[in-house]
Amino acid sequence: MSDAAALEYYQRISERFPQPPQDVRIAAEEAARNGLEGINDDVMAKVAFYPWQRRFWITVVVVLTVGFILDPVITGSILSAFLVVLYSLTVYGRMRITFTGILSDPPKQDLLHLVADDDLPMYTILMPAYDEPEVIRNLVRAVDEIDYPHDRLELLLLLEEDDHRTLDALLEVELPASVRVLLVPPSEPRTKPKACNYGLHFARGKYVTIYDAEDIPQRYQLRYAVAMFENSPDNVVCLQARLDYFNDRQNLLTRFFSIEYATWFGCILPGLQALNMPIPLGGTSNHMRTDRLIELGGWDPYNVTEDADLGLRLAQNGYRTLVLDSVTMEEANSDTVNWIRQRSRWYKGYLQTWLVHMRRPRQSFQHVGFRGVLGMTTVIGLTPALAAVNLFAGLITVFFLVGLPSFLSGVFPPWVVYMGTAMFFFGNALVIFSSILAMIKMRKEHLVWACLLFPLYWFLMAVAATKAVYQLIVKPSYWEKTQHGLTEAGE
Amino acid sequence: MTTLTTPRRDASLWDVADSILGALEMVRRALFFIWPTYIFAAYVSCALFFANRHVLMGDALSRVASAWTIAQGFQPHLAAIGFVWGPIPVVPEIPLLWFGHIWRPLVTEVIAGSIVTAAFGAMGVYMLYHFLLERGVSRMTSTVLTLGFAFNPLILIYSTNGMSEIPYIALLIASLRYFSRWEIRGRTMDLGIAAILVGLASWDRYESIVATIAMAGVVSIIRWRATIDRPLPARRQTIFAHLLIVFMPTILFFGTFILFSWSLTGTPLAQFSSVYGNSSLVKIAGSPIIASVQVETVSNRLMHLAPFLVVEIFFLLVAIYFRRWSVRMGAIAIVGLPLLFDLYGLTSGLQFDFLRYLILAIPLVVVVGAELAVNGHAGSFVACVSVVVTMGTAFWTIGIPDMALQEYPYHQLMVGQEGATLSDVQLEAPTAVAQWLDAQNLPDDSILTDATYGGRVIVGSRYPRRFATSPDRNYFTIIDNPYQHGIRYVITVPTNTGAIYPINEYYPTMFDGCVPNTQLVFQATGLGRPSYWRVYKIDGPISPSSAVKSTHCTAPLPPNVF
Repeated sequence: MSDAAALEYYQRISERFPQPPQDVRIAAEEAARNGLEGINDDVMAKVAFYPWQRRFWITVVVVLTVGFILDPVITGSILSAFLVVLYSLTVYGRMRITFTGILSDPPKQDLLHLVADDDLPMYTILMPAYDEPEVIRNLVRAVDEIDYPHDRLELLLLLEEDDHRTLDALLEVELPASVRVLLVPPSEPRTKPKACNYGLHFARGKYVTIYDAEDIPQRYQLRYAVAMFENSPDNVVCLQARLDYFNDRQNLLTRFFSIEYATWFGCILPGLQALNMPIPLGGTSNHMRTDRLIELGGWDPYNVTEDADLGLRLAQNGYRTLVLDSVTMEEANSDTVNWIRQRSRWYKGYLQTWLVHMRRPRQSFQHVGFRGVLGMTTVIGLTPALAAVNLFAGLITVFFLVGLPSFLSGVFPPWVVYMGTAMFFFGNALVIFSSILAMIKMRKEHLVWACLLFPLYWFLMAVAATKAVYQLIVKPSYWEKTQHGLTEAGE
Repeated sequence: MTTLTTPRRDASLWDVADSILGALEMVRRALFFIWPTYIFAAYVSCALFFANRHVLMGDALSRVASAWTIAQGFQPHLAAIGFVWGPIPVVPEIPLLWFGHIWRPLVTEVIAGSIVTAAFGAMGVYMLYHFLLERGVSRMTSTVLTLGFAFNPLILIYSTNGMSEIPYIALLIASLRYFSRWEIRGRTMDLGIAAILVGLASWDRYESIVATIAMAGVVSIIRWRATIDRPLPARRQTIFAHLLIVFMPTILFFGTFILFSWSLTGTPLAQFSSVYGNSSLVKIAGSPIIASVQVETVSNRLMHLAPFLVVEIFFLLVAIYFRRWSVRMGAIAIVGLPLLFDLYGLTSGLQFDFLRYLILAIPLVVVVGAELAVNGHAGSFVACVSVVVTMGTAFWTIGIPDMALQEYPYHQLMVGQEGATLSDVQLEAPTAVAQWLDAQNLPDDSILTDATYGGRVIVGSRYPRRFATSPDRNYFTIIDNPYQHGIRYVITVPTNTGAIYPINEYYPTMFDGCVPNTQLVFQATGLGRPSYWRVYKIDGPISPSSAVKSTHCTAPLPPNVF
């Protein structure tokens, strides 16, 4: 489409859906891309590795390479010993967090009635979408179903200016009064966080939240969030609702995905909260105080897991995130190839997020404490790293068990073999055991048998993680070009 | 100008003393609140008393010998854990035995084993007390029941002697505590912990699998009743989920036990199938162990040990029927069914005729007592009386040598007699053998022996690594061609000792000196069984086929041995 045609199209749309003046739009777009830079340029993931991090990892690779050339046995022993210890500690840490979460009692929902209708503040919902014409149907339904006074509800539908399919569909329906369509000027990076930043610029609500187009939040979620905010200390600036899948019985993959989500939102996040560790946010249904979010510079448009990044940034700034005991139903990814693509993006984002927050380790220790860094590293940094190692470790264990011990015992010192074997049996079993406990706690007993097959899911994770690590090393900026944040968010 | 800082004083010896005293005070205060430490201390004191008088049990000694071998090497040699038994009493002994050279009685008097069982005993007592409190038994009654259990003579003996009974009971009680918490609070996590603990017990005694099955049964009934308002598939799913929680740890622990046993010793279930396995031992002719005890004998023994168990059960049944008491059967089933299994094992010849296989009767008296005690004063009274009476009857029972073959020496010590001469295990002769061998400056793995009796020599040696002992992975290839595998000495005992000694199975005439290329170099006699020990030097290749009766016999059996 030529520039003139694009302009003409824009004018036609903006007649129907009035847009802010052009200079305001350009300023907002600029802020959405670089707003964070002005506040704190260290926290953006424009580059994956900080100079010292790049030097550090290059040194590690060089030392290992030289080591393997000079004496593969000793280098292999040291490396495997290091990995086994790291792996054990991570499993311990994750189990500690999970079990703390399983034991934590969910907060009571009776807060619901604490805020009277008249006292409810303005609430903004950001709903980014890209190339999803079906969003319109959901949008109308969503506004209908949310139990919140409509005069105090603002739903900002964030669409790319050149997303003609969606816009064409939009022209054909009558939108509820509380919906406002915002057209994001086209520019790189075309990511969901950038669209959200743009929307945040125009948000009038005291609180703001994000829903994906196909999300089905619990009816009272906004009221409950307000009640919880009003009854929490000032430093609580974010509430993360629980995400769940409505198609968990569709196939084995969606079952696995549901088990993972139920454990993550039902046990790990409450565990992190109870242990006072930073909570990485989930993709949607995170409710925030608008003023504080703006103060912090919004989301990092260059980070592909901007939600996790924001959670850690809140913690770094002394703010707290709590878990909101309310569910938002989503659709689980049911296709394996698609799942691997999505997961490798998440894992790459996790690695990127961890690298960003470890750029100034001393500062991180000061801000979130030793425990916070530990939690951050266990949950964010080591999850993809060790998922990648898993593939390798699993293979070695299988070799060992089918009778190549004489070959391997030359490479690994015996205590590494014993510890690794113990990890293989007891570490893995403990993870499966904890997910069965989590399923019973979350009342998802129909998924329990799938827990027993979870190693298959680890295999998929390992593939995705290997892909993520490979891309991070070989093409650290690759995702910026391929990432279709808005479509993938809706996968 | 005034200074705000206090003037610095040089640290003197007094400061050091002060801080040491402060630290000691803190430890003292901490100990005051950790009362199980006192139970532990009491058990260890008793253990020292028994050890001082040289009363010990053969199995405990073999376990310490295994741990001693492992502890004395830089490279852990896990096959030595000895998969005839589970790893539980052995593995915790290993770190203690790192100090075995510094304080020899840790090894020679099995004190390492005593410390481990004392720790398990104290843990069991602690768990029992909290089980009773959480179940709703009054503090007073709980204290009486707990102390009555802790100082029951049979519990006391096994808490001090390094055997596997107390770790088993302690893990069962701990599991019971968490199971009961699950029943009361409904947190699945507690059920998970209970399942892990009872699963862990299978690393100690395989009979704990019966406890797992009992737990699974109770869990199914409880969940089935609790989900009465839900549709059938949902009820099935919840029961399936809970059964997985119960069974998974046991399957895992027992499965890894089999797997490791297989990979390290070449036998998946040494406990059952090896030459030391129960079935082999029960078959031995001339054994003091009589297979397949009569039902009357076993029940007679149980009635001696814990007669008030019947009283309690009768009282409980009457109260349930006439007074509509609400009783939780879970705990009773988890201890009771394994006891029933042991009774079955004794009468069907699966297990030896030892009093210790009835030891679960004692915790069962307390557990049944707990159900009585939560229902009022009369129940509490019956429970307390039963537990106290059981202390007396247990003491009486172990004083009857026919009933308590293994415990009788302990009873003799308790009543002020000398018990050591009654014990099966006598260490003078094997210690003499060990000392002689130590003096020979041999390389590792050069002395052939085995786990049945070899342990008695190994604990007496400062160099346990010099012994090639079962169940090493290649033990049976070594025994086929000892000389080629670096063996230079063989320890032999007479063939009619009543237990299987693989060397005698392969070389029945070795002890008599009828194997060519061997030469008698040392012998020792002493009390106990076996009472005669010989060491043969191997000068050239030998094999089982060469072991024939011939005129080569250099040392015919002396008339004074058996």
